[in-house]
Amino acid sequence: MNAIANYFSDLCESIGRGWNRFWFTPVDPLPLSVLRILAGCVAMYYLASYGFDLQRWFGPGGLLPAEAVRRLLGVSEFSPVEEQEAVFHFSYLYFTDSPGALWVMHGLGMLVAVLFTVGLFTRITSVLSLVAVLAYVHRGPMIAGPLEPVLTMVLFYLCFGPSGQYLSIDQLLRRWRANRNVAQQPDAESLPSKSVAAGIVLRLMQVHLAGLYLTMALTKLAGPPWWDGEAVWWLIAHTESRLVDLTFLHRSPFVLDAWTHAIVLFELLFPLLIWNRLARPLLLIVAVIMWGSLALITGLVAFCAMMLVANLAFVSPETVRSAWNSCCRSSDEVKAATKPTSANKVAAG
Amino acid sequence: MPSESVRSSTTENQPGARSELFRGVISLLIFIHLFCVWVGMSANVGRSALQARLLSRLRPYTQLLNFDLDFTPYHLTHATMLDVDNRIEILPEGLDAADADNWIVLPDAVYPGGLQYKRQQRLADTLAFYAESEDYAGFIAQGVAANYLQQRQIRPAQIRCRRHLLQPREAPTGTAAEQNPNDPLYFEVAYAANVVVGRDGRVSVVKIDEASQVAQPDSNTN
Repeated sequence: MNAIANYFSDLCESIGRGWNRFWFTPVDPLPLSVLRILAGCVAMYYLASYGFDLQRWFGPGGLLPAEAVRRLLGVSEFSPVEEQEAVFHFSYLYFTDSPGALWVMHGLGMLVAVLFTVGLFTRITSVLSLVAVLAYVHRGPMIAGPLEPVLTMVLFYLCFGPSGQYLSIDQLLRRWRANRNVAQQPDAESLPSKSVAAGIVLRLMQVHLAGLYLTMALTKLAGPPWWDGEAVWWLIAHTESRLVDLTFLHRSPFVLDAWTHAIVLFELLFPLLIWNRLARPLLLIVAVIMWGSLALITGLVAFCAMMLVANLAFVSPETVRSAWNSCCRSSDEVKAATKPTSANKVAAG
Repeated sequence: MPSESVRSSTTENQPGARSELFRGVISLLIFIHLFCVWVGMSANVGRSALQARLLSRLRPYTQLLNFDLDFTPYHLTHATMLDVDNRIEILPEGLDAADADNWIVLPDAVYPGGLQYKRQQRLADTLAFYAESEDYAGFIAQGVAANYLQQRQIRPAQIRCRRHLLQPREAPTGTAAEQNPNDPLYFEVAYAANVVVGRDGRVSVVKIDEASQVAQPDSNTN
């Protein structure tokens, strides 16, 4: 009896230690800053792409009038009572269809995304960027695609971490304030400070992304084409969506079958093997090839790019830091090489 | 090998992880959040009664923050009628429906990899999806017709949604018509409606039920 109790006690302790190590190990926030810039760029593109069609979608006489969306969601006052259910598609874009007001709201949304990307008032602009993107997602849920859940997921987690710690205007402002204040040591800022919040945020992104990969794999396996190897052909056959015409591959059924199975296998293995330190670089390289090829045959460029951005959550902070340091070093070397020395000046004179 | 006490004291000293209470609260929040995310993701394709009930309870969180995938097509294709390209076509008043060039096509002829194109394509997909439901398809068709009337000053006479069917793998070795992915053979009308513009400018649509009432393309359309 004692042995069983000891076993469960050890088990609980071990799980607890593992849990704490997994979630609460402080890490360098630099990867979060990189993710902020890249996710911010995708968010800017997402919002800017509505700029071409803003009035056409949501303006007076738009393609998606607010009442039509409410009816499709079953929340209109005109919807039958049995079809009405509580939905939570809140968006400030429902409040008006006036062109002027729409442009002001769109402009503010874009401004917030730009500020977030450059890292100004990051704590606030991260939340506002998420609100801006969600406003468009909820205003037209029927025209949202696979990009939106990945983009909002990354933006959501970035709200909780110190994503403006590096590569941001916030960092420059902090340095400027520190330099102004003589009592503070300016060098203290340049040392990488580890953060528990950054660790939690990166872990949350990793777990969420692994779950998303698994969902993608299982969703695919719910249909026969992903079992019988035909799926990639059916994607290639979308003449109105694809970016390149690969129909000549009909002569190579082996390639089509292998490609189909490779996609499913990759998506199934990713959530399992990505936690292995040795397998991780390989999986991340394969991910670049897979999402690149899928972008070409499906035309889902923004979604595939966002998946690659989200995959960066798995690149270790040490790798990001060393890559950043080597970038800085090489740029310093270039500066030093191009800086005119006194000897050069004399020679030039 | 470090002893248990040494390891735990090292962890205790790490900045941020100040107390067990802090960790406990954060752990609980992480667990609840991941549970909501898992429910939202696992119910993406088919959902059991339990999943549906859980989702409806968790909706204030999962739907608001877009964690509820809600049938997002992450499968990319299952080669069903729901997985084909769709297009909405508008026939301006006074033009011959038999001439394929007279129909205005949505999505516009823009870069197919852009979000602008994809959104218009998804609107067409939504119309094709609801084609059997007169009400829902009507809301979308009405919106599109009103848009062309009010924003583009084009008075629509008819609106339809056509499915662009996919070539099977053996098609490139078939007949000339089968080899051409834009042959009328690969098009199918999912929904068609006459557009009625009232004196007050209000637009309504009247679904055309019989296929014979729908103008069929007589030549290649792109």
